[in-house]
Amino acid sequence: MIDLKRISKWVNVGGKPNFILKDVNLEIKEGEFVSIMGPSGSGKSSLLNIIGMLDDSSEGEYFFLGQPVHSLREKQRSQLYKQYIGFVFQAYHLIDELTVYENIETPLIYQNIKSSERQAMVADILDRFQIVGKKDLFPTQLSGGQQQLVGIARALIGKPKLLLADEPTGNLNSRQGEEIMELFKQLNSEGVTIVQVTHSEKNAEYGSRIINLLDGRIDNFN
Amino acid sequence: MNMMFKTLLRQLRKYPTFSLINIGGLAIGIAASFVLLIYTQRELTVDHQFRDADRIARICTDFYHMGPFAFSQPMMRNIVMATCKDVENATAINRSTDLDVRTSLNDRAFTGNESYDIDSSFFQVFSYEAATGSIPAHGLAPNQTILTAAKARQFFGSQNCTGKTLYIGKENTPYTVVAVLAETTAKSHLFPQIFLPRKFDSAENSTNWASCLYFNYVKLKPQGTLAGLEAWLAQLRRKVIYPTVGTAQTWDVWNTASNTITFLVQPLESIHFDNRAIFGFTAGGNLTQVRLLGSVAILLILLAIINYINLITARSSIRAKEMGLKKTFGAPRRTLIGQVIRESVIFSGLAMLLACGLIQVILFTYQYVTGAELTGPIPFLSANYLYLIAFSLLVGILAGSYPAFYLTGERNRLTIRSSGTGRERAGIRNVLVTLQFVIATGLVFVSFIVYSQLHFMKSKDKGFTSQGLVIINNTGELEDHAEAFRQLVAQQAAVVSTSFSNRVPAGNTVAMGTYEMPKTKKWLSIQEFGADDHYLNTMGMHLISGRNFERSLLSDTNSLILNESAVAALGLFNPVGTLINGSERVIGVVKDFNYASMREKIAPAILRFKPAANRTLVIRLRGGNTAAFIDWLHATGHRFIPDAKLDISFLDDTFAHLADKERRLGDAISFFTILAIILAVLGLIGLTLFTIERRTREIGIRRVLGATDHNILALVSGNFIRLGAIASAIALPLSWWLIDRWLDNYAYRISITAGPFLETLALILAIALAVIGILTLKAITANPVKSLRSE
Repeated sequence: MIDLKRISKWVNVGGKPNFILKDVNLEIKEGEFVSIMGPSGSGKSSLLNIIGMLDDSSEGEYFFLGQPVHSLREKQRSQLYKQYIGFVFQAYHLIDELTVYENIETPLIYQNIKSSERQAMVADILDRFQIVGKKDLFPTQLSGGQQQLVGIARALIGKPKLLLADEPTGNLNSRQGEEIMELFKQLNSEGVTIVQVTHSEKNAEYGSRIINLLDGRIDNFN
Repeated sequence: MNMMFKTLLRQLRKYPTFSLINIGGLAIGIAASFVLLIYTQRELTVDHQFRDADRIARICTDFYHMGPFAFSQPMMRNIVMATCKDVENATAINRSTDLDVRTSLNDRAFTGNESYDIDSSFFQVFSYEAATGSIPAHGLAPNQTILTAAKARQFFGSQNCTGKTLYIGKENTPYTVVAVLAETTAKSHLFPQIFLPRKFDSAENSTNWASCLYFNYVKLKPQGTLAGLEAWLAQLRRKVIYPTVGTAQTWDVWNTASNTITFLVQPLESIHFDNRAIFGFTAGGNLTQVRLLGSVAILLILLAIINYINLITARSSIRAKEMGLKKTFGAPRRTLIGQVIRESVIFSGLAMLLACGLIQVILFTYQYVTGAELTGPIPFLSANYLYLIAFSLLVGILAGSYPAFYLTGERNRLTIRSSGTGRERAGIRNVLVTLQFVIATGLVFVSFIVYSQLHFMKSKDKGFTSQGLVIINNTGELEDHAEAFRQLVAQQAAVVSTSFSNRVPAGNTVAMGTYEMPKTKKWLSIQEFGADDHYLNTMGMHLISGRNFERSLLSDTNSLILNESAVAALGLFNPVGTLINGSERVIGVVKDFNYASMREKIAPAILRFKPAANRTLVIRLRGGNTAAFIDWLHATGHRFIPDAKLDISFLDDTFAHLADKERRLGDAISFFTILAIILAVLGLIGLTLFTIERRTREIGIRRVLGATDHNILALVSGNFIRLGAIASAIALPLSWWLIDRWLDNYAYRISITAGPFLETLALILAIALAVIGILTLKAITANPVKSLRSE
């Protein structure tokens, strides 16, 4: 599903390239649950952003479902990730001005799905996550765990094949974290490919594979 | 206090765009509305500067229903001073035009000057002040003159000219300058250049009350009244004038007959806006225009204040922490309110400094763009600037009071949440933004309509072809040579045809005759045009029925050609062939033609055959080198009479002058509409930037969720467009109603179609979308990863 070949990413600092990622080769198959680990500044989030097509690599090739993402145009790329990828963030990134219901609905609007269909889909997912009672509340009225639940619901509403999560439990207490991880595991068993960035060994264990990043390289000695 | 300045200064530096928009907007608002307020104030106080202005009045007269004229009979002064008990003093002014003035007999003359020839009481009635020299209390002695500052500068440059000699008129009569008037910004309906002593004219002993010459002004006694003066004039008509007319009519008949003589008394302070009397000293003002521009002044400052309020309250989340902290430390609300208001006063103070410069820029630009003066100079260091300070202070307080209550009235944000991204109270701001849109939309619509009306008046069929007509207004001075001159002109290749007449449309001659309606036997006064047999074809008038005058028919001097309105006014059914006044036969009817401003309905007019007329020469030209032809005219005229100068004008220009008031109004409104749009755009920029800044994170999230550029643009502009739509729904009907009433002042007016509405909407929408679009571009192109980086 994901095939990264010699991916590098750098920024210029004072005229010199400062490498964030260097020669990263990585293949992830459909149905995998991969955890990316590594110390702060090792390039975990950058790697995730490149996988999620939010950011470009400076060098290298990226194939997603066989398509060469590195040579696609912006519009095709956005088409691709709108259809196949869902995002979950550490800071939830819900829109404060919208209710829970509207937050979850937003991606569907941008996928041009009809209103009646949207209603059914959102109702489904609210039901599944058992947050029907909260649908008219605003994000600021929810606890962190509940907000993240909404964030995951929003990521899944478009039925993505790939779920990308950047420290999904970073702002949660351990009990809430565990619940989210259990949810991920269940989703994975239903066929969703998951790539998560995490600091926590314990959370990483939920995955089927762990990738260690160190100074922008995959650490193969671990 | 010191601390406050410091934090304010730091704020200015920290948010430069915001500060610039705020101070710039206030400065433009203050400057523009100040200029307009000065304009309004000066227009409304014309002639108020004269001492006892409320006791001065002008006596206008009307005879044969031709007037009223701004001037009256030459013997009026003596008789009113001698016999009217309400009058303390009276003065008569004779106006001499086209004077040559020399500073020495060897120098070239300054041409085209105008003098007011005054008597011994002029300066007792009108209190002028001298800059140099002194004004003789009992009038000018023979060979004394007084100049205005502008004329003194023109003749003598910057040197002191009192005591110097001027040679005035064809005879080079020497006059000694005894004083130069002080310069003033106050307006007057009098517009003197040179004062000369008036020589005795035998007309002052005349008994012919149907001849007017002087402008007569009276100063009432402190206990005297206008009613007293009017009663005296009524007595004058009955006891003095009626017996001298020598009519067979009884007093009661003559009193209201078409050949009667009546008076109109105008209080000095009302002359400027009272345009009943024709041929006055100056064009006079337009109260509608003054009121309209006065309202625009208020709208402009309102726009600026709204901008300020919106920007301050929009950023309340930034100030909320400061206010919260101060509250926590025990600052009472009163102190905080004071702080916010003081800040706004400082803002408007800074804006005022900027406005001082902007005022001059606006005055200069206005004159440059429109070619007309709006207010006259507003010199620095004049009392006006005290008003400016007071005005700015008021603006500062007004602009600061709502934000003060808004900012300090918030619940203490510190105790709620530090992130401060909760839902905001945007209700009032939406109302204010809507109000701004209402003002901008309304002004744009009004200027569109004023211009359409102006264009309509310009392009409306006048009933003849004014284009290509050259008028020489003073061929009468050629006397016996006039016909030879005409023949020479007619031979020129550039000339299609020529005609002599006594009067042309839009000219400055009035002639009237009385005509009896055949059916009712009632007498009507109707405007007359005396002309030769080439008048109709040279002017391009259209004969509807009957025939033109014929030079070979002697009887045609008793023939009349009527315009359609005259036919209707006289109640004629089959006009051609009808006898009027016993012996005058109607031989033709011409299509109605405009001979006055398009404001008024075309009035009845009668053409009379004057084969020997030579006062005015009308020349129809082929296109081509007009300038060369005019040069040739001047040179030829000079050959015929060396010391006369031909008074040449284009009829098109003359008609354009009649529409000057409308053009000025259009220019003024569109000029200030553009300023209003600039203000509204500034406000829009501020609010859009703020919206984008506040929603950066949201825009990032939405981009990640798949929003396209269009989606983001719609998101940012959606609210503004909605408010704009509401505003249009309010502004368009309102301004339609207002401007429709204005249009009703015109006999020939446009009807308002969908065009201007759509144009206005398109313009406002285009401007709003352009502003928002350009600003949003930045937000669109920004990488969402950056804005979403976890804190």
